[in-house]
Amino acid sequence: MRRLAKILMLAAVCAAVVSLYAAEDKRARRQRERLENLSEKLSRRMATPDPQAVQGFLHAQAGLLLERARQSTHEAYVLDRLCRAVEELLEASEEVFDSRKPEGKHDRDERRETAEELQRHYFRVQQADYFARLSGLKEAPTYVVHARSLYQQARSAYDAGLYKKAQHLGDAADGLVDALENLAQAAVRTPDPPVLK
Amino acid sequence: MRLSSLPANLRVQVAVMAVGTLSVAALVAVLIRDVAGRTEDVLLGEARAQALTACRELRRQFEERQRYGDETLEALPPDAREVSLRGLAETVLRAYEGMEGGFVLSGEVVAHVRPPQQAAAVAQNVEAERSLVREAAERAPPVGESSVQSESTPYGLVVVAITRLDSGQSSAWTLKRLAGLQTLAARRKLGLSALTLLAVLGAAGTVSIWISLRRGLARLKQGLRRMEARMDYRLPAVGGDFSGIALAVNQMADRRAVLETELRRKDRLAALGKLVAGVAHEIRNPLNSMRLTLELLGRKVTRGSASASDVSAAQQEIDRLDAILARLLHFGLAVPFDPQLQALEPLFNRAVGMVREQARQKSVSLVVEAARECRVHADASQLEQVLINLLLNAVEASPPGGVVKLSAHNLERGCRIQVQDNGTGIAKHAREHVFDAFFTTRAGGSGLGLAVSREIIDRHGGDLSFTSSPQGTTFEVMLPSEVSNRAS
Repeated sequence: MRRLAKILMLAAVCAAVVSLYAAEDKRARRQRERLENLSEKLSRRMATPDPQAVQGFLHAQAGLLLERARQSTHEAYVLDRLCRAVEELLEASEEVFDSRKPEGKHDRDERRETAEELQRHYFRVQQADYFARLSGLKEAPTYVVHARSLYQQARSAYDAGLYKKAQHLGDAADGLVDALENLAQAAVRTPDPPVLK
Repeated sequence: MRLSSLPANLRVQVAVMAVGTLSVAALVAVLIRDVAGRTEDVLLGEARAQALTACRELRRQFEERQRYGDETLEALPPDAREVSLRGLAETVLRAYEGMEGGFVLSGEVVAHVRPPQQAAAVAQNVEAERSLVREAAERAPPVGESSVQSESTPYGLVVVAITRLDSGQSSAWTLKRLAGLQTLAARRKLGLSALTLLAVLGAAGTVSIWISLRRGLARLKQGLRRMEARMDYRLPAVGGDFSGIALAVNQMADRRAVLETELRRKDRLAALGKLVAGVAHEIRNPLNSMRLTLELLGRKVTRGSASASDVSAAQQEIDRLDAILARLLHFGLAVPFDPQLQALEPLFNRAVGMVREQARQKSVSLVVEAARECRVHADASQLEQVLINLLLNAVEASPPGGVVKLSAHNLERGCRIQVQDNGTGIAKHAREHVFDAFFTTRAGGSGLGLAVSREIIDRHGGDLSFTSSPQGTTFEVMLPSEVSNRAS
């Protein structure tokens, strides 16, 4: 009876260890899959014809961040933030690409909706400096420059009545700030109080 | 100087000035206090409005982020959420100077953004502030509403605005310190006190200066009055700016005294020259007459027809010369002057008695109207001589059956004596020479009576004048109650 109990206990421990290993394997596999997906996505985006300068920057940064993410597999939180940053950069690149598509017909409320979106993007771009400062990234100021530039282009497009283009460019600017925010979250675990300017 | 010792009108003016000044000071104080109070209210009101606006903007941006963001803020790990919320709060509060704020999530203050260069003393109170914010969050109004409250803390007044987020569990908050407001109020109170003190001191100074001026002026006025009565009097030392005026007036009086002495000496010399010329003229006439009489007597003696009557004419001329010289001596000599308080009535009686015989010979009536109460300071014998001279002249000027009236009236500061006749008056061309020595319109007159009389009246500090018309002449003697310094 006692022997049976010992055997059962040993079996339970083995099962727990096996399940732990299995969970770890599952998480690692998911991370790998996520990184591979992002890598494929980046490759696809880089393959798009006639890329703009900003897209070149976005792709380059996405590549660098992806590489950083591959080296951070032991820090799930950091890896998650870096992956999100890469996703944002690739989405921004896609928005820039889409902004070159023909404008098409406008809905009745398109103008108003675009204005509201741009208002949100404006506030978002205003935060770029703060996140750039926290991110500690060498290229962060260039992120800010591109975010502002994209917003200005969006605003010009809006003024010209190109609302879809304005929406795409605004989303691209927003994506850059999102990427910076994720990078700031990855870099600062316990941030210092910010200083208003 | 005691207030009670001031004249009544001065006291009233001082009281009016004091009340007026205090009223103005009080008015200024009330106005300043009112303005200060309003300023504080305005500052507080502005801070409350600003805090409320910033708080609402925080909520709006938070909700926008929740609505349009890729991931909800609650789902983020705490550190990542802190970064995002700080980024949001920092961007919103950048537009509001001196404003701090953040969020309260699950009862904890997060993303607390503070203004740069915050005073160290204030920064030390962050925990106290956060507990203030937590309390405010517990009392926060329902979703969609905002509230703002002011709290007095050891480091100044604090305005806290709070608004519940859509989740209902969390809140956005802003806080504004008004540390300077209490300091400002204290400074204003100090300034107000100093201003009030200055106003009171200024008023007191004004009153003091005004009283000093009044006193100085009063003393100067009094001194000038005395100087007018006594030429040797000099103004006493008066304090303040009036000392210069008093000194100048005294110097002017000294110079005038010197000039008057000089003028008097010159007048005396001129009068002497005139006297000598008059005497020479007066003496020459009887001398000529005596020479002619003696020549005639010599011829008569040669012929043996001389008589005693021829000598008497020369003797008469010699008597005339003697009389002239006697009067001249009286006019020129310094006669002792002894003024005393005199009643006029006995003097009038004696003078009238002396001229009664001459009046009777000319059938002229003498009428006396002397006020019994008339009393003057005068030398009795000299004033009697003046009266006799005037009465004799009046009797001479009156026609037979005429009336000479002697009267006296009391005045405020002396007495007026009048001698009135109903003769034909003094010829116009003679009026300006009436008081000249040796001027006479009567045969046998010496022309010294009125000159001597005027000299005597001058010595008494009085005045001798006349009015004349074809209906008669009136001589008027004004005598002061007190003999002035001129007598000496």
